[in-house]
Amino acid sequence: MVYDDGHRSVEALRDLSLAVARAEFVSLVGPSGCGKSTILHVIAGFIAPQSGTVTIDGKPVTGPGTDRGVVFQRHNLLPWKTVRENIALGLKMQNVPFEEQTRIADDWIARIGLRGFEESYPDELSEGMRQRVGLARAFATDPAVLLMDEPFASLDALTAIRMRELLVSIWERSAKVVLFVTHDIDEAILLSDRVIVLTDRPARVRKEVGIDLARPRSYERSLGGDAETVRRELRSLLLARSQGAED
Amino acid sequence: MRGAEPTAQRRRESWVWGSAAFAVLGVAWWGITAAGVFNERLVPPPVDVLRAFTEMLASGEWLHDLGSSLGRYGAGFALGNVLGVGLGVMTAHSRIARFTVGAILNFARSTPTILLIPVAMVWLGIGEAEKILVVTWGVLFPVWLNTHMGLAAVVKEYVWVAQSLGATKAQLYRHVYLPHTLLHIVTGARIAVSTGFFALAATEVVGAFSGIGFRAFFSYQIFRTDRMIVAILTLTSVAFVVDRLFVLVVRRVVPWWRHAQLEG
Repeated sequence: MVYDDGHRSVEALRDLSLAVARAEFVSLVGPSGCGKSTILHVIAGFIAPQSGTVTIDGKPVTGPGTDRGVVFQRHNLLPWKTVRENIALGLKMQNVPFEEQTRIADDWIARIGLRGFEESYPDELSEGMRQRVGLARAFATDPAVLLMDEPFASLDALTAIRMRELLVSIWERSAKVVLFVTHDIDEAILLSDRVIVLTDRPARVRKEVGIDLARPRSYERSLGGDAETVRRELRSLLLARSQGAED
Repeated sequence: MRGAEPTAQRRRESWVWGSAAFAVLGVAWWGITAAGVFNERLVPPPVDVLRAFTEMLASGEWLHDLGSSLGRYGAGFALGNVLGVGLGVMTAHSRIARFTVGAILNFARSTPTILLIPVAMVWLGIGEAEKILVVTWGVLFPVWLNTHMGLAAVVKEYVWVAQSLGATKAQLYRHVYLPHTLLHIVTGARIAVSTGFFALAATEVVGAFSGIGFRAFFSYQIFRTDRMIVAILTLTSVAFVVDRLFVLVVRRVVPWWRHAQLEG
């Protein structure tokens, strides 16, 4: 896939084909700058590829749409809207009646443990709280696909663990497809059904690794035993990047 | 940082020092005139200026002039803001408009407003329309430029998030572009508060029969320095008060002022 970033054409991806099944949690891992985020932006419809296609349920993607929710590492929340207004934003744009918007938003506020912060502005929240609101907003409109671009990378370790648990608990009840970009192997193992390891730019699929660990997974369990083998495999795949660049 | 709000003590301190500085300035003025260094008709002492002010107040001139000036200013300021924001939206979001209208505006904004007054009088006649449009000219450019810059600086993730949530073009403006740009527009409008007053004073100096600018120049023709100083101080004070009011109003209507400021 080649796209134009305004200054030059960038070949971000090459011969990358990816099929994802319903309710599957797929992580994309790869060296930084390899084009992980670009893949997500293309699927979201933010960037139009100069070549190649993306289809969802057989329909080609032509731009952003409500069937695909997004969560970024930063700048998810509009700073001029309160927590409740941010979560209800998509519902409002889809013309859900106001009482219904408030009911759904407040329901999500309770689920992410932010009761009492309904009227707070994003600036008044911690980074972790903001990401919880971002998650809630993406889920509130019930998209079929969730695209997440390193959503927990700027959180402290403990908050990130809690956020992953929250994400999994919401996802397990939702039957959504999640495409999750990360550079954290442990995070990928903990969350995913399948991990796709990418090469350096232009990114190609180096290998797909299925994660057949029983759910629910916990941090302690996933990091020992069976997980150790997977972990070692993923790590060597990632570290092999210099030879990968030549082949 | 949240500590941007000045504490009560800070505010009191700034008041005390500010008042002291003005007091020193006043005393210096009085001292110079009392020492008899200058002719009193050229540099009148504060008491004479105060006397001239009460005279003008009693005769109704002062209020009449103030009314004329504020009327012109209000109309020109409003028109300049509406045009400035409209043009800013155009040049920021249409490539063609940026290359055509934007280029013309960029060229035109370097024209000193005062040079346009003779030609405005010839084309529009001496009157209110001419004066209002000159003020509009003075207000237009800072508002246009800041609106344009504000829209161009919208964080792309905000736009993306809104689009993914199903925002239409109109919703995108209402929920993302407008609130993001409001602070930039306000900044432009605040600069325009003073540029508008510059234009107003210039347009009232020639071809006017009322207004504070007219009063300053008319007093020059009858050689009343005290009245000139009253006029100058009046316009300066009005501009100052308008600016303060502006800040107060903005804090009211933009409740996320403090929050939005933190976003780069």
